[in-house]
Amino acid sequence: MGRDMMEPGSTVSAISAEDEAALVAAAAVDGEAFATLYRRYRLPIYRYLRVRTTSDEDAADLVQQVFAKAFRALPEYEERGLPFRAWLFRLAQNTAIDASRCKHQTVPLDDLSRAREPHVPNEPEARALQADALTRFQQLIAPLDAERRDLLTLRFVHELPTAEIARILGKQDAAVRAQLKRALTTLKERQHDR
Amino acid sequence: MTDNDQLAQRYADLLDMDASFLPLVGELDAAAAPYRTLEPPPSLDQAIEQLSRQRTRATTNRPRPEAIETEPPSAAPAKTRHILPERLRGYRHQLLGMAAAIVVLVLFAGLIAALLRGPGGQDRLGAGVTASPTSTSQLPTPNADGGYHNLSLAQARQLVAFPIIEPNPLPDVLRPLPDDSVAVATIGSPGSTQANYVAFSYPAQDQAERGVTLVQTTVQTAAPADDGAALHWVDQNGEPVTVKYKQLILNRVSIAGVTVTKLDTLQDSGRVMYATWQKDGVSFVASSSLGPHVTAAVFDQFIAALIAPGTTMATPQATAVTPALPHVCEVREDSVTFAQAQQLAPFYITDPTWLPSYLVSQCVIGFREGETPDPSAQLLIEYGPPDGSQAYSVQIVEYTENHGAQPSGIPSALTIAGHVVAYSVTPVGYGTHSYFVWHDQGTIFQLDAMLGGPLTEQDVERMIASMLGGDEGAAGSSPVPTPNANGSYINLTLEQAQQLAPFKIVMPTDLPLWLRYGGLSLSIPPVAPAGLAKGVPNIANMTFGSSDDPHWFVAISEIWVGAQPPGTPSALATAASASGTPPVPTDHALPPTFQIGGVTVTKEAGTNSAGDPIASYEWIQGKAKIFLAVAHFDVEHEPDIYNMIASMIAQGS
Repeated sequence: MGRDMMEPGSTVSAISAEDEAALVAAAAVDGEAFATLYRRYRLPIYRYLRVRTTSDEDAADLVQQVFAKAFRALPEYEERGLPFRAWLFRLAQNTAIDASRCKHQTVPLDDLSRAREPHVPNEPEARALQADALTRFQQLIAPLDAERRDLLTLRFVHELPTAEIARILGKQDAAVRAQLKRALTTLKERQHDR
Repeated sequence: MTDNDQLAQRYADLLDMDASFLPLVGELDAAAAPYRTLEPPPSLDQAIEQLSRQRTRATTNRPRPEAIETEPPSAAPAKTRHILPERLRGYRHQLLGMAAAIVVLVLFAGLIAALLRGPGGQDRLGAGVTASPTSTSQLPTPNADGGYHNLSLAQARQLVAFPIIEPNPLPDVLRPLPDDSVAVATIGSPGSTQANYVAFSYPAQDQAERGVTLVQTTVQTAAPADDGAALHWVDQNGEPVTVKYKQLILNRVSIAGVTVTKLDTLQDSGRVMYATWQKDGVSFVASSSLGPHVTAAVFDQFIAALIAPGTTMATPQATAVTPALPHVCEVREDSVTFAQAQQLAPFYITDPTWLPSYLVSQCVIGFREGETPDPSAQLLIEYGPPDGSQAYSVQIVEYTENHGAQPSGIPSALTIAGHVVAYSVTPVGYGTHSYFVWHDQGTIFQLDAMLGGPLTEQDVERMIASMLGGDEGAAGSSPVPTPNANGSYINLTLEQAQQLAPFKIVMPTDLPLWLRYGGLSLSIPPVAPAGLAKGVPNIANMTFGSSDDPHWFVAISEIWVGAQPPGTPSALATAASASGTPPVPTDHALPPTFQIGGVTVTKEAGTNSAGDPIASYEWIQGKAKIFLAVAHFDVEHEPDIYNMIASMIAQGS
């Protein structure tokens, strides 16, 4: 099967906005279309949430919740100035915030329980190496607050342009650029202090 | 091309701002790379595939008319119908086939029901209506009071003087009337040969739920009457019945010209609804214990199908005698309105009747579990800043005591409006997380507050007090503030400050992501200026700082200047608020004088004594002159500063 054309810096294959709207609409009523939508966005959402969590298991758990919410919300979804991808990222962002502050309230969906098994390489050595590699980025952005960590995640992990980050965060493009600069300045100063 | 060239190309937006970021950008890029190849566990894919199959099953079970139509789903532009055409066509064919199959199944189910005579659910009204095999045209022997049980509808029609009405159509979550399940009685007319009371129940398709009971009678006292604590009526034996309730909401609605009184009660057993109306001299009483399928919406459909047969009337327009819910909220993609949620919830939704001005209901009302709510559903309501950001927020979760335990082990407790509220507070990386738990009227409430910006714990306690019906003004642990020895009120809430200050205090609602609210204080001048009474504060100060950069902060001073100076626009907020978000300057450099919404703002930039760049912005708003000062000023911040100022001006005077 040939690969779809990918958007720059993205794990999401490029289709027209109209085709995406049709896919989203179909997913509201059709399980197979929903599965297609999931396959289309599983990687960016998983990777986004993986930066915000400490384990594959937690990230998978949050991805389940995001898609379960999307599953329920899609029949009512209307594109009101927020593209579907931005909407989904916002859903992921809200889910991660919910999880960080209300862990006691999170109710796992029974029918998704199988996905709770962590996905780690079989070899212990490889597992340790992967864990190290993943923590490096988290350590680098750790001095920042959660929202700026989000900004850098969207820019560096997802390689999203600032305009799309602005859409996801509901901010002005110029404000996002200013915030990115501020975040980098802070990190640079921290490195300089060490 | 070198690595650095590649970085410069991929991160031109960042490096154009400051080329010295290059090593850091390279380090971040390298550290982010492992995430870009990360794959989710295969079990996750399996789980979502399973979820997707649920959609197919759910759609199969509940065919949606809009899905059968040949038009594309609403979110799809017409010109994109070619996407997945076979699938959509196939889907429509499947649904049409399924609809035909369902008709056959319903007929078959009716036959099976007639054969098996499954027991129906009962509510308190008309209790005693049971099924037994007496489906003959011969009337059975009446009981001692002259009443009959276990009649067929045809038999009942022979006994009562008025026509017995059945719902048309019957909501699909209810089963057809079982044979020989009708009760007929003669109440209050000994010796009469004509019955004046008939009762029967439509069982729920889900046998775990009760269905809907219907009484048709010419006896007025058979309809429930409310005395403020309980409902009273007479049953089919003429015996008085009393049912206490914990809460009651009374609504009157009009359906096809018939006035229906709806009594929505919370009882020990859960939420029970009653509806009474009169038509052609006959009183009708419908009642139902609400459940996952037999919801308030289904109950409304049932009533409409009796009053205006042949229609599938949606929930009728209510003219509420008692407003059920005070707040209007903006419905997001993942939410429903309060009214919709109340139709689904098996308990009464309570939301704060008091909200601080800088907190709005985002109407994120959802059920935490399942696609459709069930009795254990936990209702979620969210509140946040007007700009929709996540700078601070409140989440309220509600569920019934019958379907969930109250969280325990919470270290401390407060008393709010006479109720004990368990309470914990946890500092988190970017704010303070406060958690409150209480129960009231059979419902458990959990409130999570992410404090930040102007949102304080006192505000949250006052919100809780308003939910508990307490005196909002004196709610919570918010004492009447007193000035310190220097004549300053420190750490006020906005509401407290507003009560003390002789001018409207405005606080920015559009904060940059990295700015955190520091606090609000008021100062009393040593000598009262002309026009201001002695002891009245004339300056409001508030600060906003960065959580990770102590040099960067914004200070705002609002100083009473008395009456609005001549020449100041009277409608300060008109232009700013009318356009929603005002335009942000694109060149990041505001001129020394600029206007927002008709208000002239003067800017001055310079350095402080330490040589750090600073900037100040000044304007008149109502009776106050406002100064906004930025320390560690960078022209790149001006779009955010502009938004802050615009959000203040938009609040008017």
